[in-house]
This record gives sequence, C-alpha cells and structure tokens, in this order.
Amino acid sequence: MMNLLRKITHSFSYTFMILFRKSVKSLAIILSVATFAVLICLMEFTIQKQESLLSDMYEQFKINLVIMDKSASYADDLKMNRKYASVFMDKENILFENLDNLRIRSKGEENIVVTDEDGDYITSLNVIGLTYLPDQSEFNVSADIWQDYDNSMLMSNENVCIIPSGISSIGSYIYIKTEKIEESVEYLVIGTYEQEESIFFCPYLNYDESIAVSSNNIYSIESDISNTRAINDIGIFLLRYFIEPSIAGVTPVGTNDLGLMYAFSFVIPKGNLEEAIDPIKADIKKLQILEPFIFVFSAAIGFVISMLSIKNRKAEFAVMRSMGASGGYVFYISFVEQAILCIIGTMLGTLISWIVFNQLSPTQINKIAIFITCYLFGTAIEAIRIACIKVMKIMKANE
Amino acid sequence: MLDMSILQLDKVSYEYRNKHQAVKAVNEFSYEFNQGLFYAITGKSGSGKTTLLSLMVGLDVPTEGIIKYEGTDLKEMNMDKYRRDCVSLIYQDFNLFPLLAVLENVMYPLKLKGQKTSECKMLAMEKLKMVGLDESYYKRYPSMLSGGEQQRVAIARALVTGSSILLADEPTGNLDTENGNNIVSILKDLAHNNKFCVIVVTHDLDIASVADKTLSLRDGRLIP
Repeated sequence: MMNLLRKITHSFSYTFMILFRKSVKSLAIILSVATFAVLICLMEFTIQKQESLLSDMYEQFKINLVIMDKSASYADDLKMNRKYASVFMDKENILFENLDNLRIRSKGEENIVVTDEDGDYITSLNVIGLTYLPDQSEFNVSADIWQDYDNSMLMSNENVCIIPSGISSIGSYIYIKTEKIEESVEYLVIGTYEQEESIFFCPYLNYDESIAVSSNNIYSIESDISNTRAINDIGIFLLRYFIEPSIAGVTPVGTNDLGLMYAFSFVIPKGNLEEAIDPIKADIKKLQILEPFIFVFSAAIGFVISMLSIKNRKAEFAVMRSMGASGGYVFYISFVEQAILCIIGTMLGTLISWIVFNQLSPTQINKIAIFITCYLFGTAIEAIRIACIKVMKIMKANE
Repeated sequence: MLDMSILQLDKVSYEYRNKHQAVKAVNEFSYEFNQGLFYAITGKSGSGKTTLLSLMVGLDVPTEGIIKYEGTDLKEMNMDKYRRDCVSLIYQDFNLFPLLAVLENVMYPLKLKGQKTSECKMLAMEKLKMVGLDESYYKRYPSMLSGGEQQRVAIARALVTGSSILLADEPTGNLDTENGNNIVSILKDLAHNNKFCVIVVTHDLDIASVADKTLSLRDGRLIP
C-alpha cells in the first residue's frame, strides 16, 4: 500500500518536475493552447455581437403590414369577406403571435337598437367592430375608457361596448337588439365619448360573430409586425390568402385556403429593413462559415501539438518501459503531463477572453470543452501508442 | 568463482513478418548464462543480436522455445516486474533522462519500484561511487557530461535496481577507445567481483577478446 502511494506520488512529482524543467517548451505549449482558446472565444464573441446587433435591428424596425384590394390602390373599403379577417384572429396561425397592434375595422353597415332593461327603446346606433380603441383622428371621437380595460379587450369576444355618453355611463349595462339578435342582449359599457356621433363600438370578433349580417363588411386590415425576424414566414403564410403586390392587378387564378378567389394583396414594406440587416447577415454567414474551420484547425493543431510533444520523447518513454515501467504508467505519465499543459493553457486563454470580452457564454465554454477533448484525444492516442511501443525498435532507431 | 546458471534459453526462436515474408530473427538459440561471467555476443548486422537481447530483457516474447530466469519460465512471470527487479539494460547512446540530474537519473528505477526517497538516494550515491563518479556529478545534467561519464551514469542506473543480469547493447559504440576500455573494465569488474551476469552485444572484436565467453550469431543461429 505504501509502495503504491509512493509510486503515485513519484509519478506526480516526476510530471511536475519535468514540466517545470522544460519550462520554455511547457510555456510554449501553454501559450499556444491559450491562443487557440482566445481565438475560439473571439470568434464566438464576434458572432454573438453580430447576432445581437441583428436582433436590435429587427426590434428597432417597425414594419407595417397592409392588406389592399388586388389592384394595390387603396387599403380602405376592402369589400372583403370577413373570413379574411378570421385569418388574423386565429390563435393557431403564425400571424397571431407575430403581429402587433392589429387594426381590423368592420365597415359598420349594421344598425342596432339600444333599449333599457325593460326593453324600452332608447336610441338607434351604427355598429363598428374594432380590434383597437377608437381615436379622434379616425372616428372623430375621444373616448373615456374604464381603467380596467385596454386595447387587448377589443381582441376578445366579450359583450362590451363604447357608446355616446348620453345613453349610459361607464360600468353600467345596456341592452341591444339587431337584425340578427331577436332578444335583447346585455352589453357592458366600458367607454363613452362626448362627441355627436352615433356609433356603437364593440370588439371586432363580437361584431363578427353576434351582430354582422353582411359578408362584405371589412373596412381595413393593418398591423405592425412585432417580430420582424418572422417577416419572410409571415409573407409566405399570407400568400395562401392574398397575392403579392408585384403581381397585384393581374387577375388571380384559382381560390385560396378560404375557398375564395384571390382578390386582395398584402404589402410588407421591408426594403429598409433588408438594407440594414443584409450586410450584418452576410457578415454572420461569413463568420459562421469560417468558425468551423478555425475551430477544427485549432483542435487539429492542439491534437498535433500534443501528439508531437509525446512523440519527441519516445525514447525517454521506451527507456522507462525497459526499466520495468508498465504500459499504464507510461500512458499515465505522458497523458497527465499534456493534460496539465492543456488545462492550464485553456484556463489562461479563457481568463484572458473573459477579461477582454467581459463575457463567457455557455457556447464558448462548450467549444472550449470540445477543443480540450480534441487535444486530450490526440494526447490519448499518442500515449496509447507510446505505452505499446517496441522498445528495442525505438532504441535502435535512435542510435 | 562460483558459476551459477541464471538465464537459460532453450531452442528459442523469434519470427516476425516484414512486408514480403516471414523472417526468423532468432533460430533455435539455446544457451545457459551464468552469474559472475562476462559474455560477448557478436555477429554481423541483421544476425539477430538485438532481437536476442530484447527477448532476454523481456521486451519481446519468443515465438518458440523457453527462456528461464533462475529456473522460472519468463512466461509465468510478470514482465514489468522482471525488468524492474531481475534485469537491467545499458544502451549504446546511454539514454539518460535529459531533464533529470545525474543522481535523479540513478534514483529513477528505484522510485519506479516505490522505494523511499532516502533509500533511493543512498543506493544511487553508492552505485555512482562504484562507477567512479563522485559528489560533484550529482547535480549535473546529462548534457553537461562526456560520453564516457554518461555511460558510467547509465551503468550506475542499471546497477541500482539490484538485478543480477546486466545486458548491454553496444555499450562502447559511441565512445572513444579510452572511454570504451574503461567501460569494458567496469563491466568486467562487475561480473567478476560482484557476480553479475554481464551480457554485451557488440560488433567490437576488442570487447569479444576480453570476454569470458564469446557467442557468435549468424542468421539468428548460434555458431558452434
């Protein structure tokens, strides 16, 4: 037991002594490994910076999606079947989560009758279904909205409404009848306006499902694209229902997924975005093409350095074998020595990278780990070869 | 002087394949080596001298025949242990560890066996003294020594393990005549006065002429 302990201590002390005494070579290997580690971190850092820049660009650009008639002349008064609007309200498709501030407005041809709780007539109003709160510039109204409600409410199918202030107050209920609704239905008043307009504003979905009679009742569809990264996917999806502006005006052939003729086009003015992101994307692509080469090159160099370092000391290990050192001992001595240099080198390189770049991402750590693995793999291969050497052959070759 | 058989080779053959054919480097070699004698094995290049040496030192295993150390078949022994305890090898180009000082080089085989540092140091100093190297050499590195001095260190390193067989492959090959003669006389002295079985593989006929027994090899066979 003591003997074994002494053998282990001896192999450790021998390894460190050799590393210390061939300090210039050890330092050269440590610095080479450190350089590769820095290089790997630098590549990863540059790519990450470029991707972050790209991400910022995507977030900063606000792109508006507009649905137009097929001649691409005007976005309003689409005379569009409301089935088209359902494409935008469907939570299952790509548009719902990637569009922001969706502005669908019904044309407002339907009239409703407002009654009190007992069914007595109060007034008659024109209905407009919206996915957003009405504003002064579009509807000539300036509504006070109940504090618990916001824009998102108008994306729902709740029985809520915004009406002229003279009819009822915020938080109260009114009752309406329409051509489609025979018995009075209760609506919560969530907003009122002072202006002399006679419009009953309700959520677009609620209008579409409960009130609308006409099939051609979409006035306009517009939205901001919140996730401009998905711009191409959004475009591809929209092609199932609309035609591209470039071919707008040409009579479409066939029907779309809704079973309707292509009658409308969509416009995504993404020119400025592409102009801004294309050079960054090209840079990232170049770096991504270059990165595996640099990585493989670094790993290969690490592999070769470790192999050569052991190979150069072949005679020394052969002598150890001839003195009775076991194959395992020779493997251990040669492997541990290189592993120590590799780990010190990579730690140094990683530390330098961390100080300089002020970051150390999991990807960088993973790649450094792969680099270490390659290095140690090269070491292990040569260490196994050395452990199995024909001692006399090497001795004769050296003479 | 008591001659005692320590290494017996019985119809030992060693065959290997090169690119074109099977080559029998050693062919039915039989001999008994005794303690206290200085042997020279001579032969032309390719006669099988070095292969025979590597078989005796346990670095290769014969394809046929038996090698026995003190009556025990080497196949039944742990080869690493055999090389650590029973046999030592001296090379033509010394093969000292370049990054270890003289004393550390000599201590190394003992450390490999797991002996205490103090014991290793004492034994190493004793063996260095035996080959004529004093304290002033202890901390020198091999590169600071002459060829003759390096070979003395190599002999001290071979002696320190306490093995009873010393095998030397052209030990004077890289030395001038004077240093070569000194080394030969040290080896001869070890055989005669310290009961080592010294086996030297050599081209040098001068060594053969001073050996107690000279064995000649041709095509792997012992020439009678």
